[in-house]
Amino acid sequence: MTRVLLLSLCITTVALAGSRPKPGGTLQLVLVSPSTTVDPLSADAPIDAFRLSLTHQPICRLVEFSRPAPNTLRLTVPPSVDVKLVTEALTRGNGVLLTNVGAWLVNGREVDLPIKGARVDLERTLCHPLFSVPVGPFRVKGSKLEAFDEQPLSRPYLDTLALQSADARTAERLFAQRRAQLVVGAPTPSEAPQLFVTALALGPGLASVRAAIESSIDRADLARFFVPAPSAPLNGLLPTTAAPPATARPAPLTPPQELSLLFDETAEHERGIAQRLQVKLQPFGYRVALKPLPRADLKTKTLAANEFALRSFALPPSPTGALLMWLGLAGQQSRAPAVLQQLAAAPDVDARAKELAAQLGPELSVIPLVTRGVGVMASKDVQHLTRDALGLPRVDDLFLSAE
Amino acid sequence: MRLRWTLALAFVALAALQVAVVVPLALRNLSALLGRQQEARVDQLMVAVDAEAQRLQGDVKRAMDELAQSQALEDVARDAARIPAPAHVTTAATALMTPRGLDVLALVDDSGRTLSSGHLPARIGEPDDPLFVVTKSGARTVVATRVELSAPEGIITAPALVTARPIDYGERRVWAIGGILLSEARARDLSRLTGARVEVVSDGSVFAHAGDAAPPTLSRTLPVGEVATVRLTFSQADLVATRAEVLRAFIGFAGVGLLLSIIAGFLVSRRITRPVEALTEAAEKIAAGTPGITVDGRHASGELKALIATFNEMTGDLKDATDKLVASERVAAWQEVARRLAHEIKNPLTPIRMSLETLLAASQRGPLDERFTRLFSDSARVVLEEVDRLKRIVDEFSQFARLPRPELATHELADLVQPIMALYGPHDGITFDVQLQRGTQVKADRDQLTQVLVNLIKNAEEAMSGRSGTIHVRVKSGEAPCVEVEDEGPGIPAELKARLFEPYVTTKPQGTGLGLAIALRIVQEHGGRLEVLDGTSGGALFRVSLPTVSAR
Amino acid sequence: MILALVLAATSASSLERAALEVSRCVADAGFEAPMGVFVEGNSVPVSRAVGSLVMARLAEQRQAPVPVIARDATEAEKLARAQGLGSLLRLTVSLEAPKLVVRGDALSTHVNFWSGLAPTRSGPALAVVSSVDADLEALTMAGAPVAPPTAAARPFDVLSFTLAKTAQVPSAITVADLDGDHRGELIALVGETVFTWASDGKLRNKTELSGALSTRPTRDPFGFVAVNGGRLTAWSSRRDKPESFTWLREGWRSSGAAESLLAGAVTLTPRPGYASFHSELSWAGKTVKWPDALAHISQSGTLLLGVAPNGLASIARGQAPATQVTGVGSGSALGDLDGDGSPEVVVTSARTWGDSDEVRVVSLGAFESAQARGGHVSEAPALWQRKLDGRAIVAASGDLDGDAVDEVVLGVWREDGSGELVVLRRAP
Repeated sequence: MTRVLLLSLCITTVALAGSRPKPGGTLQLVLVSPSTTVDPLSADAPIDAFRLSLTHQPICRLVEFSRPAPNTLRLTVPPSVDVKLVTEALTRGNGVLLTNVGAWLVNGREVDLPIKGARVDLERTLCHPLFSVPVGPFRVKGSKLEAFDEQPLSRPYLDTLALQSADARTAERLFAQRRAQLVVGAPTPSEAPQLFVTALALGPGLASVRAAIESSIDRADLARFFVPAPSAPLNGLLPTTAAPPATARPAPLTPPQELSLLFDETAEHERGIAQRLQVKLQPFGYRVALKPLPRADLKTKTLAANEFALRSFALPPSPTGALLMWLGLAGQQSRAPAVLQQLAAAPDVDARAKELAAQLGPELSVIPLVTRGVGVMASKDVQHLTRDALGLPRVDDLFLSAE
Repeated sequence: MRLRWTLALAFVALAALQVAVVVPLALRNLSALLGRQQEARVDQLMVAVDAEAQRLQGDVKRAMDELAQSQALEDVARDAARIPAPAHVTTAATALMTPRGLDVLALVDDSGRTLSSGHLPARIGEPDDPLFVVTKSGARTVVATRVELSAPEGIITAPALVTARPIDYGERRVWAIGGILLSEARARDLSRLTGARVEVVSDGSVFAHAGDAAPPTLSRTLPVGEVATVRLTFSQADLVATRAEVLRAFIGFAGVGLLLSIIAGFLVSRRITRPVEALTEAAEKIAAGTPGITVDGRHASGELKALIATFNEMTGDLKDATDKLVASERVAAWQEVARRLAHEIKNPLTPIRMSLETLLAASQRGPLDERFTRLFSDSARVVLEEVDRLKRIVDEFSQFARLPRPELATHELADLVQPIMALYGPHDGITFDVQLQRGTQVKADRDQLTQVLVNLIKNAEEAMSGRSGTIHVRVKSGEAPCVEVEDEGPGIPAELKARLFEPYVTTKPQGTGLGLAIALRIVQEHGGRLEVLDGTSGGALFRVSLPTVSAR
Repeated sequence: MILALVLAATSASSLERAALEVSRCVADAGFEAPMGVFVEGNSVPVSRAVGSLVMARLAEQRQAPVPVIARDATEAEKLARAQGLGSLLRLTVSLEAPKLVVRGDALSTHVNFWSGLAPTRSGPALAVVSSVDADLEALTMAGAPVAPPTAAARPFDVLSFTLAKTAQVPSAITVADLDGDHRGELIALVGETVFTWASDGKLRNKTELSGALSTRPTRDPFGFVAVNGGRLTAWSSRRDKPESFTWLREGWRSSGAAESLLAGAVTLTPRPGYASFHSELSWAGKTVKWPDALAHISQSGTLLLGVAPNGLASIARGQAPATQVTGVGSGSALGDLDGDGSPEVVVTSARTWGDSDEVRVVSLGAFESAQARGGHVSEAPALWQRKLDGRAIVAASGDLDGDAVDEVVLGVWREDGSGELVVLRRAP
């Protein structure tokens, strides 16, 4: 008898909404992060990029793409977005390096980008957080985020986001007490793409360290022990690269060499990796000093001869963009035209990019280490939780089932 | 030097001597005492440090025993061989270390591979041979060893006290190696406990330190196995400060004591010397001729009081005697005056009687002839002369007796002398030397003072009759203003000096003997002094001193 | 409970008879009082009524019955032991037309002392079975369809087939006879394109919408298509204004912007940014205020079915409805599927996620009865129902094949973002 009662109750609960996503409602959203940055230039951590995505959207989502000519990508900017915002985003930071397009033409609401090489994935590259414009699904209003109506992607289903930051344990508690419906940044495994990379940039003349690192470091261990889930080893310049074969261990140096390892003082996982490198390099005769720096300083720092640095950033969700990103990190922008040319000639750009990545990997003075994604805990009433090209949850797409 | 100052100085010197002798002695003893106390305190603290070290070792043992029994470690031992290692194994050391107050904790499998490390999480999966050696050191002992840590400058080794415990799960064995670092925190604890600067010296360099010790210092060391030495440096600054404080207090007290003894000495000496000084003053006054002086003996006591009483009695007796003497002298003087006056008056009477008897005899002898007429006229002339003389004597005497009270007015002394001296010029071989120093104001009766000077100059002229020479008249101003009249006559015999101013005492055949007496009387009436001294050229020097009017 | 007492008084009732049989079964078996009674069944009112009646009979037999509320029979036994009951009666009531069947067992709660961790029973135990003819009362209580005794019940069966698949989800569909052959054409707005299919599934035309873009489009596909006197009004939420077309030589010719969204007698007003129409609508020249915003409407004769985004729906006759049914999806429509002159209601579920839906055909009467109670749509018995792959978000009805009977077309949203057009028609 009771079972029947319960069954009918269940039906009643879920049936209170139409077949379409139900608009409206307030989502109790908890970010597991001390940071609340909304700067496209510093959205290097997945949680930062997610926070940015609440009030900003990358160009790729806002504009309509078309290719009027083989070497032209046309961006049609919708009327509710200022064209200037788009062109500004294109020139932001090292965006020019990632797009590697010529001088563009603005014609009314159309921006024509002259493509160098066959960039079939340029549209995807423009999904990088760097190309975000402040036309997001939500707008800050007081202590909350309110749905932003006047935008080309249409308003999100939700009316309001009640956003708060908390540490992982508090977030878990809030979720268990049903005071949080969505926890973003939770240490839960995820199948979504992980494009937030942490790599080691080597200063000039540190090629010898490379052999020591490559032969001793186990990226899977790094990801498992020192980077909160979801995380994965990054074996090459592109996320899908297979683990490289083991290399021979070089002989220890005598006398020991002093090195400085720079890392972002706000990135806890970088500290863990840095200490691991200290331990791993010691048997090779390297004494590694740790130098935590503010993120902004680290980005603009030119590495000295005995310095190497941990760098965290988001890879563009396109192989070409990713390769260009690595070239920029290694300070070898000059090789971009050659790379683009090789890709242009290939019938399958993605496959060619993978080959190129394997070929470039050992040549560039960077060592990819791990990738990070963003873990999510969502309560049952959160519906249609999707992820974008970078693997970030799209809050604008989700809606709440009625209770 | 006055007795008062002598006494006061004596007091001060006595006090200063005391300070100079006592303070260094006391300080030396105090320093020695404090030094001994400090040593004793340091020894006690070292005992406490030793106890603290024992306690730490005990804590480590207890924590590790408890840990070895814990369910969490059993789980670790069970799952240690799983690949990949589950999270509860890899994070076990970090989670288990802190709540148990451990700084070092490594979970190591039987091959020496680190399963989880709390002090160096980056060690996971790697062998840690120096730490693994501890497992060979026998059961349950706490061993001093070196532990590798991550530091900003690289991997460093730090001295630590660790112990190892095996955890068995079936065939499998896992070691938990844990303990504490001799870190800043421990140094800080020790420093708080002892108040000393604590340094952990490892491999010849200071690994950790805490606290501060201001010089001068006292150091002790405590070896920790073979890996480190704990050096405690105790500051003796407080000892120095105490010494300085005591010294300052001593000096302060001594200064105050000295000051007090000066004041007390002064007061006491004043108390003692005041009656003595009063006696001295009174004696001086008596010596100067002021009779009947008594000394106030209220503040004196003891012998001095008796002395003052005796002195007062003596001066009283002296005054009485003087009074009596003066009265008898006055009677005698007046008897002398009467005798002299009678004598003076009797002298003319004889010629008068003789003249009148001659005339009477001549008239009885015959008619009044020519001879009689001549005789009569001669006799009449003698009588008249003698009568004049009598009259003069009587006039002078009456003048001496009826000297009026001086009418005092303020005069410049030189201005009084100058017009008088204008009347005298050189005559009969006598010249005048007048030296007038201006600037002395006196209160005087001009006429009477003129009389004094005239008398003195006349006296000088008379003393120089028959000689040639100079009469020096000097008006002196300055500290002791006076008028001096000095002749170059024969001088005054010593025996006469005492009586010179008495009436009718004269060395001159023509003198009445009242000139100097009158002068003295006038000067005395003015409150001044008339003295006779020996002149520089053998003559007499008369000095008139008059009370001066203050410049105001 | 009142109901139970009333039922107990009428001894002729099938429920009462079943209860009596059950109580007789356990009467002389020597069960120890108090006796717990646990009842379950597929119809709550029937189970409850039978349970009450059985307990009344047991009370007469001095069995001191106590109701046991538990999730299942196993838990009931544990609970009975925990409550210290002497015995337990467990019943399952099912209406297996034309029989009312009560099955179950009675057992002593005593436990074998030596049984260890898993208790084994000791004492008397027996099975209980009772089967009686279900009367009208029991059937009504169970909500089972009551077949009219006279009608030679022709089984109501519906066939469904996929007419077309689309790359995107259809945002609006309608059925209209464009060429006068009495066979309706299916017109669907997919993305910014108006597709026109013949009833045999042949694509006859594709026409792009034009006109200024809307500054406030909706996130999910939403639009409007209706044919009024040969003129097509089409509007997508991505466009600012509706567009008017005429069918000319196998193609739609745009005749510029339309003023309003007119569908038959109803004119709707869109809500910018939301996938719904304003609650105020013009109906035969009269302004009617619907209780909620409207995600979808369907007309049949003078009837208007309006579905709100929150799953509330009503069928109205010329004026705004006072009450609503809950649990109706926006892919619901009115259509006379059986050709009896009275429309049936094709109801989809209000599920907002997943890749499956449930289509039910209910009679107009049952729907209106549920509506009158303000109840859930599942209270209306289904004439036909089946599972659907994907979720129907739009629906339209019309005669596609010229048999003078309506077909209902559902616009289905597949989980992968593609669409499907599913036709429901009465099986011949």
